[in-house]
Amino acid sequence: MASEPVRVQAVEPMPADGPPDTALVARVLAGDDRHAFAALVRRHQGSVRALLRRLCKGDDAFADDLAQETFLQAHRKLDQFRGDAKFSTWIYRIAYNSFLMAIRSRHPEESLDENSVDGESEHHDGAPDLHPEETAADLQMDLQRAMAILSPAERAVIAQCYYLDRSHEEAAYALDCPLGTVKSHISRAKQKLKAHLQVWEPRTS
Amino acid sequence: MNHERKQPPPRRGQPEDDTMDGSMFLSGRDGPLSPGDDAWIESLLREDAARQPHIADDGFVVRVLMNMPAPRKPAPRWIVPAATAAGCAIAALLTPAGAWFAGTLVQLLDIRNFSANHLSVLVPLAVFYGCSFSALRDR
Repeated sequence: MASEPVRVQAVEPMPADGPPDTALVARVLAGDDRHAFAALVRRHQGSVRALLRRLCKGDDAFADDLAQETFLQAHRKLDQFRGDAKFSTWIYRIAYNSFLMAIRSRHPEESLDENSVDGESEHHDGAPDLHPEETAADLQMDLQRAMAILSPAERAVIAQCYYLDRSHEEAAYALDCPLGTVKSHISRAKQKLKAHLQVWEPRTS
Repeated sequence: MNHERKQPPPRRGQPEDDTMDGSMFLSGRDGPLSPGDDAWIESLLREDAARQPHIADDGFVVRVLMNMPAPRKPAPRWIVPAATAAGCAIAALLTPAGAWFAGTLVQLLDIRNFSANHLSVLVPLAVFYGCSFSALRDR
C-alpha cells in the first residue's frame, strides 16, 4: 500500500483548566518544573488510561502500569516533542508503543495484525446468546467482546478514531503508520464488528 | 439510534453484506464516507464511547511523580569561573607558553612600565572578561 504523507493539525485549543500544553512543556524543559509536568499528567491521564484499558481488553491494572510508564517515558523524551502534533497525539503515540512493547514481550509470537489469541476470541465467533431482557449493558458487553476479537492494530485504530475522536491523520501519527493503513484497519475492524454484532443491527421496516 | 437485538440472530456461514469489501471507509471525526450500511455500527461505537465513564485520578498523578527520577540539580554558579581560573593557573605554571604569557601579563599590569600601548591590550581583555562575566550572571 502506498504510504501517504500524514499531516497533523498541531493547533491546540486553550484548555479551560490552565495554560496550554505547549506552555507547560516549555516550563518542564526550561527548569524541570514538576508542577508543570504534574499538570500535564493530570490533564491527559484520563484519556491515556482509557486508551490503554481499551487496548488491554479490560486489564485495568496492566493498562494503568503502562500508562504510568507512558508518562515517565514522555518526561524522558520531552525534548523530542517538536510541536508538530498536539501533545495528546504525541503521548498517545508513546502509549501505543508502550503497549506494543508489552504485548511483544508477553506474546512474542503474536503478530499485530492477527486477532488476539486468548479465550475471548473463541467466545464470540458467532451470534451471542439471546435473552429476552436485552439491555444497554448487554450491548456494552457484546461490544467489549467484539472489540476483543480485533487485532491490536485494529483495536488501536478504533480506539483512536471513535473513542478518542481523533481524525485519520492524527490516528496515523499516533500509531506511526501510513494513512492508508489506518483506513484499511478501520475497514477490517468494522467488518469484524459487524459480523459479531449483527444481532444488534437495527431492523429496517 | 436505538439498538435492539434482531430475532432470530444470524448464524455463522451466512453471506456477508456487500458493503464489507473494504472499499469504503468510515471514521468517527472524519464523518461517513459511505452511505447507509455501516452507519449502525458507527452509531453503536459512538454511543459506547459516549457511555465511557471519566477515569478519576485516584492517586495516579502522585504515583507517576513518585516514580520520576530526582530533579536535576543545577551546577553551582561559581563552578565555571573557578574551573577557568584553575585551568589558566595550571597552564601558566606548567607550560613554557603559559609562563611567557603570565610574565607578559605581569609586565602589562606593572604600573611603573605603564604606557598608552598597554591600553590596546588591556581594554579588549577587560571588555572580553566583563562580557563573559555578565553572560554567566544572566544564566
